[in-house]
Amino acid sequence: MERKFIGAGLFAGLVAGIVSFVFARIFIEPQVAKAIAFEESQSKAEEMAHAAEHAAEQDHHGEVEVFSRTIQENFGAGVGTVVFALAMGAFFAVAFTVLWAYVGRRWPSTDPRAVVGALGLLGFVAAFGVPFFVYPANPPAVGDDATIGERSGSFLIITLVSVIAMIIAVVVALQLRDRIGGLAGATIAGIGYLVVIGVAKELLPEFHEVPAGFPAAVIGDFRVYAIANQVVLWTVLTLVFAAAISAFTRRTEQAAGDLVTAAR
Amino acid sequence: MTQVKAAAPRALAVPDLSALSAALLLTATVLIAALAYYFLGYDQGAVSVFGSDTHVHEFVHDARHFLGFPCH
Ligand SMILES: [Zn+2]
Repeated sequence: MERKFIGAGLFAGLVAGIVSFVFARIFIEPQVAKAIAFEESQSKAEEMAHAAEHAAEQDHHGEVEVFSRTIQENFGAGVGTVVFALAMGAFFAVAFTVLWAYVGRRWPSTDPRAVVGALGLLGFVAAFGVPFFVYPANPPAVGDDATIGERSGSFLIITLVSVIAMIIAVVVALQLRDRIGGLAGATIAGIGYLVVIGVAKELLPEFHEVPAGFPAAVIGDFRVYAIANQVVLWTVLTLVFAAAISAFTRRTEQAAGDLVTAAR
Repeated sequence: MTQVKAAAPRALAVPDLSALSAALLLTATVLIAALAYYFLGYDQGAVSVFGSDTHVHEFVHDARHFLGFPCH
């Protein structure tokens, strides 16, 4: 069965990645283009200011493009988004397998699709929502090149802390369910998760690197669409995975029905 | 025929390979997905497994921004 779950996760990830890329290509890419236009106007102004003193070094800013903008915004962005969604689908399938192995055995009357839905919501919050809350996404040219290492490391740390804390919170909530009830257990686990995130946010560095003159509306629109993009991705992933699980369930019921008919 | 003789006194517990293979499959899936996630979001930004090459970074650059990873 776990083989089927992973297949369902990869399929759901593929569909979610394609839908998410179409969304991002329509809504986010124009913001990226505006940010790059700002960046280029800045570096041109800088170049002209330096041109007099450093006439010989004029091609210093003429960075060699490895891939053209057209390839990056279409092919590269599409492949990247689908790879990300496939990875999330794979993680989703493993998490569901482990969760259902426990929940399905302990509370057999549970609808597996409710578990899928809860997992989708918690996955969205842990893997995207909280890291975004601590380090909001930015369009190109917002962010100092010198801090890219520190920013990447901090983002990875908050993502790992968030995902691991969420896994522990779910384990705690399930352990408490029979003792103090599902709602009380989930509340305690949720508070614990938020405390861990609050402490981590306090300990991690902050970055305020928006360049002077950068259009605020571009950052605002970019962030709103970045959130919407992940809502689309996780919703499609969850719904397709739930549909696949339903198909497996129906098939099992059908097989059981066939067995009963055959036995008669 | 050999079944009677095979009732050996030294019985070794048979490992449950179906559970083991499930664990291996799940672990391998997590590792491969984590590798893909790392290459997409982090490699050649701050760290680079293949030296100073930037092909992966440049290729998926827009996807990194779309997905909320830190970038330039
Ligand atoms: Zn960038």
